[in-house]
Amino acid sequence: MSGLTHEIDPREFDSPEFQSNPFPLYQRLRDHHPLFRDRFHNRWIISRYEDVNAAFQNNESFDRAMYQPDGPYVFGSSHVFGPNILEYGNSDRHRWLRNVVAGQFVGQGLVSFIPFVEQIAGELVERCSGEGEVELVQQFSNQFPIRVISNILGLPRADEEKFVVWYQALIAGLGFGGEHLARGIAARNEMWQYLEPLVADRLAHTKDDLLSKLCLAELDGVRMNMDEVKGFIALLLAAGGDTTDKAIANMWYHMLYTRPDQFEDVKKDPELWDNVFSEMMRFDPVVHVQSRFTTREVEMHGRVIPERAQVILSLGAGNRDERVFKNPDVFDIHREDLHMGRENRSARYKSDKQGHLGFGVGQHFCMGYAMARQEAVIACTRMMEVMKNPRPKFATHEGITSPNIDSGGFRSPRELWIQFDK
Amino acid sequence: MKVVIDKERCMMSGECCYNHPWLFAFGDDDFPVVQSVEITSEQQRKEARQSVQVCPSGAISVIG
Repeated sequence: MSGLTHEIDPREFDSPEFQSNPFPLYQRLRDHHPLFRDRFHNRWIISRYEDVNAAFQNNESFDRAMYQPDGPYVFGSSHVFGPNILEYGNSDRHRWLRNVVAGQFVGQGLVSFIPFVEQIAGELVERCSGEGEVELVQQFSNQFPIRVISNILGLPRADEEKFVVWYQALIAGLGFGGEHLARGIAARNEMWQYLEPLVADRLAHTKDDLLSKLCLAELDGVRMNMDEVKGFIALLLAAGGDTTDKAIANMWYHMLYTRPDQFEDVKKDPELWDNVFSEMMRFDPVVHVQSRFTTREVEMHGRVIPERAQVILSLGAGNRDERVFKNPDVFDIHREDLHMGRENRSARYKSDKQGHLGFGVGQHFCMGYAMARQEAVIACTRMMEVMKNPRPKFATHEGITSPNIDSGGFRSPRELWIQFDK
Repeated sequence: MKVVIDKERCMMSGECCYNHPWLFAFGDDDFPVVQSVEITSEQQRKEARQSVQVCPSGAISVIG
């Protein structure tokens, strides 16, 4: 074979083959192009675990936002959500905004919401367990995390069906153009109108909810303006509703189709759902790529990335790096080289095991990581309690797919039918 | 006001170092270390209390 076989045509990243199975290309990147210059899309791609992990932690060289003379570069979400924290790079303002909500999602505040997560999971499982079969994506996953986040915000439970529609429109608007974008913006406008009296209410009568916290938080005596509050809520509803829904579907897909043998272990010991979550986040997480911009020249693998260049941190590729994980292409909930519990933003663990990169690492580490794990594990455990002997309805499945891996690479099954004993 | 970290309880989440870098930094052993700064302003006191709230393992406490 000639050396040319290792060459990568950047158009492969746009191919249906890559979108349904990106892993062979990831392997070629890691082995032959650990720093890949993609001239076609005008970006650089890094793919080895150590490189991706280091870039996530290198705030001096890599920033989430690219700065223009008149302010930060538009990251690509404010046209749908309104002004929001994703638009801020490694700045003090980003840190401050994150701290406004961090106590609720990361720290001690999370514990107080667990009974409520249990309650919502129970209600929904009850609702879709009557027929002896369930289409997990539409009937359960899309319904569940959005109800949790809207309640943490303090939005009325009576309006939950509205939020279910809105968050999906927002996310689709973010990932696609055309009519999806138009629908996303329409949903945003509708949502903003809906939120206005609620925000006014919280400014007048503070409650013990996240909405009040957002309205009243002050940095040096200054609050967020109305648009910033509404933009933050739109982001929290979309981000809180999405990705966890897809994560739940991915966990079930891998149990039903990839490792039915290990599913037997989980049936005997439901605490293993925690391991299923960790291994899913390594093996095929919902999000495969994060984007950064260089703030200065960066030398890597004998080459130099110029300043102000876009760099794709391919965490989906890093998670399959055989330099870190043994038999990386095997889904194994008992693997000994992966940290199985709650993730650390620092990527450091007392056990000296390695964590997956599925939530990112460092400054822009997923805000909702602990919530996502709690929700997913509680939902799966609850389903197993009620839906006895769960099994796939169809012998074959098209697999986990990505309609557009370039736009963030949200990967999950389109639908997933599960049968069970009533 | 003084901030202390219980290394036994600490799970190395890194939340303190990333949220309040003026107050915490990773030490050589990868555990967080409290920086030697005077906590004087109201904003600093607020952030110190915030770090207690956000620590997932409950390893941080504030004295005074």
